[in-house]
Amino acid sequence: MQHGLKSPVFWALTLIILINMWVIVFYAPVEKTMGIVQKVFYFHVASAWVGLLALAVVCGASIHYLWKRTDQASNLALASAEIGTVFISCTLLTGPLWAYPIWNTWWTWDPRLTTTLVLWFMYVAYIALHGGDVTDTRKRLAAVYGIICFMNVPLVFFSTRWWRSIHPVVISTEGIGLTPKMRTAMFLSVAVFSLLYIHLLRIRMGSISLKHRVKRLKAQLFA
Amino acid sequence: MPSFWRKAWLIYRKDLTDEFRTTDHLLSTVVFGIMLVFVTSFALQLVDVSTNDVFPAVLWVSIFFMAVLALQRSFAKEVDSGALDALLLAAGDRSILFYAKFLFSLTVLLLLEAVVVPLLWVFISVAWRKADVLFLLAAIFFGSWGLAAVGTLLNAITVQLAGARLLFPILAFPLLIPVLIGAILCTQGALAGDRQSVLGWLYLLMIFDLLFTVIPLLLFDYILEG
Amino acid sequence: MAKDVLTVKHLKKELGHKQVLKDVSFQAEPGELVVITGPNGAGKTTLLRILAGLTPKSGGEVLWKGGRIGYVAHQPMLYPNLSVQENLAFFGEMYGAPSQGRFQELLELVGLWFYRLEKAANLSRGMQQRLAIARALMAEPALLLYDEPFTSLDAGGREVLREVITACREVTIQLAITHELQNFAGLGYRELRLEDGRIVEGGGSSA
Repeated sequence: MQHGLKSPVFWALTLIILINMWVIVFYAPVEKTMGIVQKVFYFHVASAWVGLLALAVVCGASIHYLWKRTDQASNLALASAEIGTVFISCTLLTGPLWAYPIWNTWWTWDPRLTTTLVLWFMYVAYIALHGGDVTDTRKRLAAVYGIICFMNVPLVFFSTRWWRSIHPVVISTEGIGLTPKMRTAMFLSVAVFSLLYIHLLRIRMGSISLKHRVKRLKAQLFA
Repeated sequence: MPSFWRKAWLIYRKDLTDEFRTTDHLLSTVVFGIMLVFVTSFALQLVDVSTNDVFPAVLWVSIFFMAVLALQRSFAKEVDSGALDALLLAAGDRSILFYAKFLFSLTVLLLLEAVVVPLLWVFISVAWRKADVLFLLAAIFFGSWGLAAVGTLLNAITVQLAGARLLFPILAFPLLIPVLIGAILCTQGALAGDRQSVLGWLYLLMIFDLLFTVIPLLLFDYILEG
Repeated sequence: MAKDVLTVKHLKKELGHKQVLKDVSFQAEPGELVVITGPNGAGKTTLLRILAGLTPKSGGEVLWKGGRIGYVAHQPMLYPNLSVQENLAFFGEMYGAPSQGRFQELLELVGLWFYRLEKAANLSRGMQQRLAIARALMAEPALLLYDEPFTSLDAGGREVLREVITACREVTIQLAITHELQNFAGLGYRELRLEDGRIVEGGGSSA
């Protein structure tokens, strides 16, 4: 696979992203009450989707690693966690940008917000566990943690939701009400962000396995 | 050959004997807990807030931090002495170790709480007339269960990484969010004598506890594969 | 008969990308003392840990249908805050309740009966190793594995171990790894040489 400016995939993806930008800015209508700020929604939802998808990939790759013990599976899990962190960070940053003008607050402990934040902490913890040395022990332990994290997500979500439904709900995120054009823009963003995720994943996996190879060669050199 | 639970019991008994023989760790953990309770109640006194409202939050934040110290002992004991291999060989099944260490962690945690919770109760001077003590104890018990289960699982992970023991709280807290929510709201309900809401949160805690008591059966062999 | 034989076939072990064990095959029968020698890093300890079931193998077969496995490791693997007696009793109970007679017999065999109430932490390194030997025997093993058993022992301890090896002779397969073969002189062993992850021919025997 060719990298950087020489890669046709890179140019294709650039084109698709530009189209997506055009759709978000010009094709999707400006929301009546929220105004132009609502446009951030497309980035927000798409990156949140990728953030959750990436954790599912971490879990799947971890199960595969424990079963087959291939380096590829372990690298995939780590790469997915790293990229997932970037997307979840985007979600956490774009959220308040929209929330402040609309809800008049930067942050609220709504189930989705809380779960997203916990997701971010899980990613960071996972990377801290997996990221250091490249040893089989770390790979194995990180795989176990990755699986536990993913299984814990529904528990976190439902416990926060239950807590919020017992107390009066101050702010509801329900009923955003999308027009067909908005919906098209949203689904396109989700698809494009997913493609971007896959592309980044391939690049990152390549660089992780290169890093490991350099380490192996060095070890051989000094052995 | 002794049964699964007989072996777990033997390990549990051995760990308690060992823990009480060198009280260094237990003692510093309980003193840490008392300090924590003192500092938070004193800080809250300065700003004059309603005590019953803050009691559940202060209680569980204190227990969480105390647990970070207390729960790191279960497997560290084996790894520091180098006895883990001998124990694995004698136990045969690795999940025996999980259940033994889980019971040990839970016992230690409950003992620490037996000292710290009454102190907090006094320091913060909770209005207890409506309080449902039975449910309060249930909240503490099932909350601690969840803490001990997750803590034991993660301790088995972190002890295998030399110099990475600081990772323990970082790995633990995101997993423990449901326990934090459940335990705090359960405690709040118990203080107000609101059985309906307490029961709901107790069920949540029990589901969490059950999950993290059963998951190790599937995953523990991978953790201690060595 | 075949039930009690330890058979290792084409055993492989990879750690990371390093092939520690490439192709190890051998057989050992009850009554035998097999000594595996080889340079540092040849994979001796890894082989022993795989046989003990402490480390998973990457390929090949280990056939062992016999009884329990005793393991005397490089480190004594004891609980420092428990006494000699408690250490031994704990492991004894894990293997099924031992008789008081057996308990005393073992401690006397390794010369620790007098120190039975002492904390394991207060024992010298050699004494701790003796206790580790007693613990391995507590399992009444059909297969005994030794990892450099003589290294940390004093002269008296070495004599004790030689007695143990002779005493266990009849009923167990004994398998030791070492790079100091002279300690096994006169014990009637069969040598296997492990080099670069393989058993190489030419190991001698002293039967």
